[in-house]
Amino acid sequence: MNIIVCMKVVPDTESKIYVKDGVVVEEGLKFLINPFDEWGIEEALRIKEKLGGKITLLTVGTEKDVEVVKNGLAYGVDDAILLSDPAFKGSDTLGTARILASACKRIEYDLIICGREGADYDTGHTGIALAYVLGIPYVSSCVKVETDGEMLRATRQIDGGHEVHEVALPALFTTSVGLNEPRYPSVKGIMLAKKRSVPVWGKDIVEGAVGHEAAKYEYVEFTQPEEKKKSCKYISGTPEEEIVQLMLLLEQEAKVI
Amino acid sequence: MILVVSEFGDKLKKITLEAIGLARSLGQDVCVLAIGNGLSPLAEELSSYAKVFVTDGVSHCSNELISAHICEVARKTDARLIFLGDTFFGKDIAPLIATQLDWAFMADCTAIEEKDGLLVTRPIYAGKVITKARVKGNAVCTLRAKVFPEAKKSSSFGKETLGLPQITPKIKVLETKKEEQKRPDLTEADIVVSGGRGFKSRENFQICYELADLLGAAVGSSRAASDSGFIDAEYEVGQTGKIIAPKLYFAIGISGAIQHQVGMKSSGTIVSINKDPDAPIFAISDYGIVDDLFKVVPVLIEELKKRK
Amino acid sequence: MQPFPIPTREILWNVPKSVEIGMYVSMGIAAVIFFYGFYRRYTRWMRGKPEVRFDRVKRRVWDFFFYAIGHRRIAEQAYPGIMHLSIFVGFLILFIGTDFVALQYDLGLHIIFGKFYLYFSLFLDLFGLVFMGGILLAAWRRFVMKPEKLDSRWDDIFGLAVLFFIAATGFATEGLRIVATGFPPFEIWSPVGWVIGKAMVGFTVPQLKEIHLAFWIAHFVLILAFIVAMPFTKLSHIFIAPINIFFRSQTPKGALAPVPNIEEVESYGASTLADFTWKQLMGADACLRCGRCHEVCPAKLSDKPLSPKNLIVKIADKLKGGEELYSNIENDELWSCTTCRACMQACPVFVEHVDTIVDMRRFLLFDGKLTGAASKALQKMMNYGNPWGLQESRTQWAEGLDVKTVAQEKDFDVLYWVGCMGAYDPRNRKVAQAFARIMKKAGVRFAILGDEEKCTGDSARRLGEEMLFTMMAQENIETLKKHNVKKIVTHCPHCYNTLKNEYPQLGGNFEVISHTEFIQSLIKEGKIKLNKGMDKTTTFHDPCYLGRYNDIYNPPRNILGKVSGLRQKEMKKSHENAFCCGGGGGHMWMDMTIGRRINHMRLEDSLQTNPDFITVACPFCMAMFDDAIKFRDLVEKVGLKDVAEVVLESMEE
Repeated sequence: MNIIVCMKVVPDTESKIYVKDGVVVEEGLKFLINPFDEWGIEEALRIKEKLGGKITLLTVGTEKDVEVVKNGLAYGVDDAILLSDPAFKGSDTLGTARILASACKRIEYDLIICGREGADYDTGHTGIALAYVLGIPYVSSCVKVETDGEMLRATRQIDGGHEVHEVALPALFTTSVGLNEPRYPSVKGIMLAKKRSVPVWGKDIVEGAVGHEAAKYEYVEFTQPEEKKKSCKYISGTPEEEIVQLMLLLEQEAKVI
Repeated sequence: MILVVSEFGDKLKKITLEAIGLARSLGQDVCVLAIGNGLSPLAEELSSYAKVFVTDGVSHCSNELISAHICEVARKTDARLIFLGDTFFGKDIAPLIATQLDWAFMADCTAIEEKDGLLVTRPIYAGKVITKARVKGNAVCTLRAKVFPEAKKSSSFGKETLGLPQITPKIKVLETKKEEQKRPDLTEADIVVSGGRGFKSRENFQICYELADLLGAAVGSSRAASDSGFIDAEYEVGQTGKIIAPKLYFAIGISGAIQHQVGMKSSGTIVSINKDPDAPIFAISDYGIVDDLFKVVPVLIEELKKRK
Repeated sequence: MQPFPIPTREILWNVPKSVEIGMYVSMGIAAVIFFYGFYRRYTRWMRGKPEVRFDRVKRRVWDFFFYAIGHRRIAEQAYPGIMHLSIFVGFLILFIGTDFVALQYDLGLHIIFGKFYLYFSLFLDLFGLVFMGGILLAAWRRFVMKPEKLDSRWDDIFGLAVLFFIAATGFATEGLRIVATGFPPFEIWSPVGWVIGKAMVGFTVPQLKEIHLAFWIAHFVLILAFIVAMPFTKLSHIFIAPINIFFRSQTPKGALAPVPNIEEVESYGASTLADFTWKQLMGADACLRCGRCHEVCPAKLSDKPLSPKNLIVKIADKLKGGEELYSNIENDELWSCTTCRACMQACPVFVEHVDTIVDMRRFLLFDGKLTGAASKALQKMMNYGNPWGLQESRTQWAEGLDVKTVAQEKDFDVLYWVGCMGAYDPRNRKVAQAFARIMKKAGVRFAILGDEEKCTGDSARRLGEEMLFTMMAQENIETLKKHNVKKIVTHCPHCYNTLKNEYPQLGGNFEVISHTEFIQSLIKEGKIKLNKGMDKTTTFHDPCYLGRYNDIYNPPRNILGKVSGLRQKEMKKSHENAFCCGGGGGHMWMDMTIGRRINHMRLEDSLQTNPDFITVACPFCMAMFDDAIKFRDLVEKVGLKDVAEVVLESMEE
């Protein structure tokens, strides 16, 4: 059973992110595999352990992402391909999906796994657009999947519960929080993976409009919400007084209620 | 024209009214599409906010089918913007609609302006950065809840019934499991009420659920509380549980050991209630009440009940 | 009967020449089988990797005499101690006795006669009884008392039986000879034989001779059986156990073996038997399933899947070949270990359980078999230098204390290594603050590394992440050298152990002192005075990494002893028998829910002493006890303090 896992390289969500001169500061950020895609890789590995086959990792990015892509190899996937070209710069999520789709068409696959969203831009479009461009069905926000090589049975999150969907392969699903616990990629494994090569595919394999010109949106401004100084405001008095004060603060100062 | 797609199903959700409100504030024509089963009451309700298109008799949301339908309605109404809530329904279908119509897709929007074209504001990096996007052409937007003011009821608008397109979806929905308590998912809730060992017993811990329901919040716990059997381990917030960052986090009867702190310190506003003034949780809280939770929480519950 | 004027006996009396020849021939064959058997075992050990264990010969010889001959650890427990000593000494004496016989008979040295013969006979008879008594004690224990830690295989029964009957037939033969030769009066010096002889007076001499020969042959056959069976059964421990003791580890207890050439190798850790060293394989073979490790292991006692005995036995059983190493070993067996070393402390033959487990963890980790919170903690250590991934400064605990970093103060005498828990954990920050205050009051010129300090890597190494440990250690060593650090004091035993015993493996040689030793000397030198007494009772919980690993038991107790009015009570399991708090071996970062909680069990131990407060000397122990006390809702009833906090309290004016 052949699986393609789409992977994005994002900054560590627990890093401190700063905006300076209107742009997000990249220096000092630790870049890693999008956690949603880590779950994708883990799920692919588990399916491979049961059913055999090949796992290919695809990333749309730039040369500096190669190091993190190699970390993906350290988990035990078979191949990793970087899709990179100056012509891809400025692509929006649909553009990215077209690039991925062009690559997928050149690889034999039964199943494609994408993260529900990227932990940087939190959009959640690429995976679904990829499925549409390839003309395959998708199930999004999955918390449990099972497959026998022919059918995919996926449990997805819905508002207020879960739903179980079944569809014949080839299909695509996007991962959601709690799908699985990824295995630990040992540092040694990562070092060995560094020695492997990651082929780079460019614009000559791509069909469809990508890049800045084709993008339907452009991010023009970045700001940072005010960094709250963390010092606790103590509320005291009788329980009744305390609650009255608290509600006031939550409504008017913090504006969360 | 702005097409607002109501949340799938027969319940009127606030986000739909917020979407209509936003649409109206942009000064455009608005219509609402409701899809689900047993929609008469909903359709009636919605018709006092905008023109309603009703597609009844649909029990499962099959993304192919529903998206195709929404695209048809969008073409029919000559819509240029489609709004949905940033819910699991919205996340599942809005991207597909956009791709099918070849429109832009904007997720989790917190502001939309028409200023030399469409300018959309949305949070990224889990809310650590706010960005503005200039959008070319038409767009499908999912809207963040509780940001936009709800529309006001006005006169009675018309209702029109529409049927689904003739498509056989490839995906079969086998079963739908709705949880008994329709609480939001812990990792995605905007408000979380978290209880700790201070509750002393599983029975006492139930107060958290009551409070959470009044706030529309999810329930979480410290490791200590789940170890003591007050609540299942899947609700644990912390290093060995879930790492979350809701807008509002209540830490009640939680001392705030570092394993717990790591799981919630990125929350927007942290309110802690603990009778121990030295509890480490206060060091990372915005508001702290040093008092007996058994005295304070019931008062809070009463206050919230009054407001309902 | 002819009276023998000189006490002696005819060796091989009544044994026809044919039988005698048969004896030598069969002994020759038995010897071949014996040597072949042990050689085969040896080849199985040698399938393992090389390891240097021929150094420090003097120490090795001493340990051999002290622990093997001297029974030091075997005698820790009274019943089995006496039991084994009896068998051991009895066997040794009987064996030496046989050697004398051989010397006389085969080499012609005329020794066994006269007064010597009298004492010789008595000695052998008495020790023959002691020997049989020991075996009976063993049989009683194994088959009647049936302690849970003992399992019985066929060779346990065979071993006891063959030894018993060798002795029994030996006595029978002696008795029959005595009666058949007409009770020479000096033979009363073989009292057992004399009594047996008296019971056989009804027979005629020819009958007695027949019976004697039968018993003699039986005796001999049993001995042959014993010799031939030795290499193939548990009896092999007679040789392998002392050899294993001879080759025991002589490196510091807390230093796990590094992986040679770790940067270049393709993989490391134990994926198959051949990945273990020959010493580890021999160690598994030396295990005689006594179960002492089993009965002290905190994982075992808290119902986790690990039993150190079962693990080692599984490995030993695989030495014959054919089976995959992990065929019957669960991953959780290996993750359950807290590396407390109670097993290695108890083991009479010095099997190295912890090192074996860590080697297997190294492989598991490489094979992607670690998930969950520990996995995240390792990734955070790698990316941020601490297990929580915190990016705040490591100096926040020191705010307001006027503590200088090495960047600010070049002129310092000792570096205070704070560690991750002291830097970030709210409860443990108080310990760091207390210790810093003590040092300030004592006028100690110390500095901290501040944000240049990174996790020492102890947890990473114990979880099997050897590569990450190596990287972290190298970074820290470079930082320490850069700032010309010579002397380090730390309040964390895990940091202490790694800095002192493991960093030298990577070129980091520093003088490392535990805060307990440090405070003890400050008191001795009069630099701090403990003026304020306290009318309280406390019990001290020995941290595994300070106690068993580094033999530091007295300094904390001495310190507590200097606080006037403070009464100390010892827990039943204290010092080298102390029960782990459950935080080591990476467990601080894991979410293992199998079995009971080790920290709750240890809290129970401490509550037995009815303390006003519990004294700890380790941040992991602090966190573990804190958690357990809160769980039991005993916060108002039992206090919890680090040694430094007790000292600071009694220093206050």
